[in-house]
Amino acid sequence: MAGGVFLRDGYSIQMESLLWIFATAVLAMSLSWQTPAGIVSPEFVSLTLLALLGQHLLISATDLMAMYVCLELQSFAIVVLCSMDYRSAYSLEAGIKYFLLSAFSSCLLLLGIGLIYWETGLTQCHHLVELLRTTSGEPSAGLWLGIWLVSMGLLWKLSAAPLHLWVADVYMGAVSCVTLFLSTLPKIALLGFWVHTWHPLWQSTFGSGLAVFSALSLMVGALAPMAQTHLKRLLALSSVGHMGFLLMPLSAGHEAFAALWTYLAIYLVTNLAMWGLLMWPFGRPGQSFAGPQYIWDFSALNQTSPAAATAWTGALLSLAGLPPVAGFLGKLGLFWWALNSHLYSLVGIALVATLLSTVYYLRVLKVAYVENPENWGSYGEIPPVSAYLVALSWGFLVVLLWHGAPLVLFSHWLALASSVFQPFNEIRRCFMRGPL
Amino acid sequence: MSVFFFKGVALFTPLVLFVMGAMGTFLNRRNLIIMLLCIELMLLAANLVFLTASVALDDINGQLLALWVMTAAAAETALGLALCVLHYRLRATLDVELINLMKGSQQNHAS
Amino acid sequence: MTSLVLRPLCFNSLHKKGLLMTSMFFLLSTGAWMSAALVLRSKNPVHSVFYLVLTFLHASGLLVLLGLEFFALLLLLVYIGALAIMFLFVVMLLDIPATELMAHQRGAYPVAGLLFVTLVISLVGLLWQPVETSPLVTPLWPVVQGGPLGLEFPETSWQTAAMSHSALAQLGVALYGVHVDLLLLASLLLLVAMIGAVALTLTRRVHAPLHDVFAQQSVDYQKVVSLVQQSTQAKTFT
Repeated sequence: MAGGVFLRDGYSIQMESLLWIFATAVLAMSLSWQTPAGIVSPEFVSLTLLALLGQHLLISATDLMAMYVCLELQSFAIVVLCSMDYRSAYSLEAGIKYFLLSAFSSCLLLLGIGLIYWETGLTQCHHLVELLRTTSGEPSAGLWLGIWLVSMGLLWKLSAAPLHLWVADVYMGAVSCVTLFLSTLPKIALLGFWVHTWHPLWQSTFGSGLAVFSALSLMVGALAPMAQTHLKRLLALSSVGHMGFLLMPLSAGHEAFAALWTYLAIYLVTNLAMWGLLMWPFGRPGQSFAGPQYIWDFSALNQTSPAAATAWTGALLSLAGLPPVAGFLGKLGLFWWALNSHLYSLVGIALVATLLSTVYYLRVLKVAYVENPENWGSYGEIPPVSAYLVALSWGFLVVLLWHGAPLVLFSHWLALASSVFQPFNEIRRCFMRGPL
Repeated sequence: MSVFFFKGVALFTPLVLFVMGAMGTFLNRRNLIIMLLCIELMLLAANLVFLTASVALDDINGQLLALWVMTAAAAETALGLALCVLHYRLRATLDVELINLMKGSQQNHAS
Repeated sequence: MTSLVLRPLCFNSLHKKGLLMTSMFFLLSTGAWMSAALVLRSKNPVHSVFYLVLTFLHASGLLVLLGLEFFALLLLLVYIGALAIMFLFVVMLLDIPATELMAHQRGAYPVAGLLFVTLVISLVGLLWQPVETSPLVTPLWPVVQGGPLGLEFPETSWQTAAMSHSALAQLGVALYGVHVDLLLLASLLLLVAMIGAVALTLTRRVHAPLHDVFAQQSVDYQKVVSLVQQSTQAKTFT
């Protein structure tokens, strides 16, 4: 493009198509759910598309200016979407919280960009990487602080562990279809940007420092959801844990990115199935809701709706990463690459976190299958589009563990495409040193 | 006085402004409007960093960045004030302490 | 694009002002800090907004000292002319009571302390930088080392002065030419803010029925009309 701030290569094209395919599914599911849920908001689609535009361009952005503008575009649209249900104080509160915290984090991000610019005069990330590689010794304090602040801003948007304060309230307060949007699509875009552009900078200043964030997120994701009974809160806090898993390969090394993309794809499919099941009108005697809310809403689900119970089993087992479904494939890849990069303590923490998180995932299933029902409630009529999407993603979850070769190959391709600049830079560095 | 000294001082001004804004956001949690003002203060500080660096480096990119930040600040103010009005309409207060319907975000408050 | 960046931005007017500049700089930055502190300390939100305006005034004074008159004007017009007035409108509209200072701040001290430590670290890092003469950096305030005749003053080459553009023209080229894609994105940012502000504050009828426009449009009118006619005919005949 004109200013050279966006880079369109094979990697970004593939990531963007992943983004749009998933966004189509999310939009179809949300729109079909809005009518039974009684939500009238004509601006939903336009705001979603604007946020998607921001995410799309964020993946291919190579410049800090472009990164900032795209990030703000998507987070402002998400603020409005969070407080979409203007009658509910919860939804409004979610919007306010997301707004305040994202404004604060983008201020930190801006200060980081400012410090980087002050020290080097550069905003183009590839130039910064080259500068860091060709200059000897440690980066100066301002540059170091700038890179740290920008990374904190990005991790904040990714809701990694010490910076996950907003996540539970926003996920709970926002309308379910917005939560589905908010919990998946920004992660694709931000991880895409991080790997595409930001990772070399982070790696050359802080090395594998992401392991700390990964470990913290894993611990939070394992312990915090234990006491939750509200389903959306539980899923929000467990998504912090999944962020920890997604950050594991980023601290491991460049070959490990394949595991990242496999895990991300499976996580997306699982999320689609699960939120499809949460966006299914639900009724208790005398009341009706837009979806199940608490864990005990599932009591006797096995008797009232065996299909829904089976679907929940598949989705929850996949989130926990247990063998018969595809979640196991993602976890296997992560552990394999982390062991290859000698991150033994991180793997230990991840194993413990998996074990602990299995407890609360299985608790939901225990309510649905084993426990005696204390209160009654049953699913109503599911919108057809959601039903098809849930069935499709459930099918993926079942099949992918046994026939996962295309997915694994695709993610290897993505990992290779994202590292395509590394040898190029090496060659250039040798060339630059040669005459001197 | 050396040039070196001035370079530090020129960055010192916006940094102090930024930290004032950041501390105001966290420490002085009274109502939403004040928090919005603090965020504006932080954005202004970031702008000053960009503009001073642009002059010091003789480079145009900093001024461009400052323009984007101004745009984002305008958008942010509009959204923030809309949220304020909506919140006031629903709950007749703007006290930050009362924006806590769903407990849990601040562990400090529970204790 | 490269030629655009390499051209000097003509900040020569800075060279002549040495000492006055520094004292003005200290005065304005101290003023900015004072009014920023007053934004945080004042009890009445309206006063806070006024002190924010004062901060912006000082900041635009700083920008004038830097030689960025356009941005100083922009700060005055956009921030004070539009944003601060908007704040004032909302504050006066909502009738927010003057709250007690530091009413609720349980547990906020660690965060503030962390920020303060970060400030100290970054300031130490800034003020104690080992190397100051980076080839990338031109000095912010050029030191006049020669006598009053000023041998170091750059000679004005009239030809280059005639050929070069002003800083503002270069900004225009960069904004509307080089980075026009970001300009479009920034306009979309404003669009999001506009849609958002309207959609959030619009008072809608709470019990409005849900209209599916497509379903309404695709009703076969012949069936509906004939059915009503039958029933009315039946009523009139009986």
